Amino acid sequence: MSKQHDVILEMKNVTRTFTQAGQKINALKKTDFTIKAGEMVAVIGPSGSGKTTFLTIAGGLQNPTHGTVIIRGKNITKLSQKQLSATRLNEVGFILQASNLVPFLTVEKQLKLLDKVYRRPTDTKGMTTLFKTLQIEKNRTKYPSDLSGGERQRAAIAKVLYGNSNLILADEPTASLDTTRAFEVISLLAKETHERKKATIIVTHDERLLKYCDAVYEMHDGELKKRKK
Amino acid sequence: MFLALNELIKEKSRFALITAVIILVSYLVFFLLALAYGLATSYTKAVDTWDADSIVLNQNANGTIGRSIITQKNTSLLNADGSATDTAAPLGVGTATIEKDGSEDIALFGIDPTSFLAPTPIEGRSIQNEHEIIVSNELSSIGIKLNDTITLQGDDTSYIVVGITDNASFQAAPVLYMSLKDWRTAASATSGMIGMRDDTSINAIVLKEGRAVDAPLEAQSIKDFIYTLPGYQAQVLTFSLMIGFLIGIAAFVLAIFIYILTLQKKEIFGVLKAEGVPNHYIASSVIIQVAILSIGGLIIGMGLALLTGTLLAGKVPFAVNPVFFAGISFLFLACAALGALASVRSVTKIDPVEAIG
Repeated sequence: MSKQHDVILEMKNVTRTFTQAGQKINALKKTDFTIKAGEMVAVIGPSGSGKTTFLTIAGGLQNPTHGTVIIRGKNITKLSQKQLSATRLNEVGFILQASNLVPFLTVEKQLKLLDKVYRRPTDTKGMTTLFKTLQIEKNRTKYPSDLSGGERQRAAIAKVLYGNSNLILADEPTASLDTTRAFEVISLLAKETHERKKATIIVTHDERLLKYCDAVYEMHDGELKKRKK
Repeated sequence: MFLALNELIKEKSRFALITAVIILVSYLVFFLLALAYGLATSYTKAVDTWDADSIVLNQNANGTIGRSIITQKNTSLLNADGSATDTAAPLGVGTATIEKDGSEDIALFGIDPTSFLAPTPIEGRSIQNEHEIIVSNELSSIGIKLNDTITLQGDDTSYIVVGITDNASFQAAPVLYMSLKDWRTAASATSGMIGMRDDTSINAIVLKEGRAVDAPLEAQSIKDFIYTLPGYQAQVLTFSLMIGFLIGIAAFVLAIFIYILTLQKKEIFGVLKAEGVPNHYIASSVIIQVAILSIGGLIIGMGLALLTGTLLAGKVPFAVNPVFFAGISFLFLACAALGALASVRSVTKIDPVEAIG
């Protein structure tokens, strides 16, 4: 990877305001943020503090009011919806609280769906390795409804890693898991992030998970601040 | 295709129910269509073989052939002896009941055996002498066959079947062809026939080429003549309305099913869109599902209708017109496609931010 692309995501002077009931709301105040390949950072903060707004802007789901968002050297704030969609497909992977698995696809087919969308051949070997690493080999033909919460999140991680996304955005990925499973999933995510040189941003309420992260940011009333170690 | 097929496989029972509804409705549509077409052609099959341009009736008959009386005094369209010319043929029409193994109501056609109205027999020969008749092969159901001698109820005259013609029917009754002379006797003897004004009386003159006629006669096109046959228009309209409504309802039901299914998947489609899966990929999945369900349902429904028609052959007037079947199929698919568009529109409107937030 070139040095330029060591930085996976860069947000410069990013703000997001919207009007609700005639009142202007600063959902995200002036924010500068950078994350490099191989890093996993956490964003914590109370509900309504702007964490999800931050995440959706970082993932190219909505444009900032001001500022620029750069993913691997490409300014995505000027892109059309179609181009944004293509950038998300190629660069960004989401892991959501309730897991983002398609209910009518088996674990294996969740990954194959990406091949269909990308119009590329299935990497059966890579898929098997991934399942083994994430310890869900025995679940590859099961539907999401047949999996436990931890297995579902591991399948979601497998999907993101198989998609080869450089930027992984995880919104409360352990919210539905017990403590043991939560630790398992986060440590796995941290390991894969470091080994595969991904950049992962986790939005969480759970302070116990922060020890797995390389940096922690706090969000309060739309203001993002890095927590000192 | 991948999403569409995998969902169909996973949600078999749900989609089986939707398909069952489409199968049943399309079965009903195709069966009714074949019945309607069969019934309509049974009204006109004999008329269609004339390949004529128009028909001349007495203007006081109000377009009803059974009430029309034309005598030689009224017209110069025919030869002086009342026989047919190359382009004009006399026709007498009536009803009677024929008996063999069973009884059957028939349409009596009195014709000049040398005219273009004379049927082409598929078995036997044409009428050459008195008391010779040609009958529709539909009468084989009561055991009538070539060289049989038959009588009509109310008429003591015996007639010999010298020819069998193919599926000739008029107003849903099999046709019995006889010479005009015999027809006048039969018409006088059997009940329900027209009264004979003189020995040149006929009901109508069929013209190969359109021609102006003088009062008290009037000419109308064969198409108009068919439409004014008692019950024909009402029957065609009734069936058309039923079939039209059924197609509309089936397409609407399919559209609602797919729309509801799409709404149920709004969240997962939102996540897919957030992940960068393009709108057209998700929309094509919806369209493919509609296509599979509607085409599959149509084919099975059509197959069942054809099977039923085969099983009921001879008992009901079931006739398949491939053009009508293709037209109705196209109409049904077009309605289903319109319904699918509503679902596609809802897919494009899903906001991925909502799915994440």
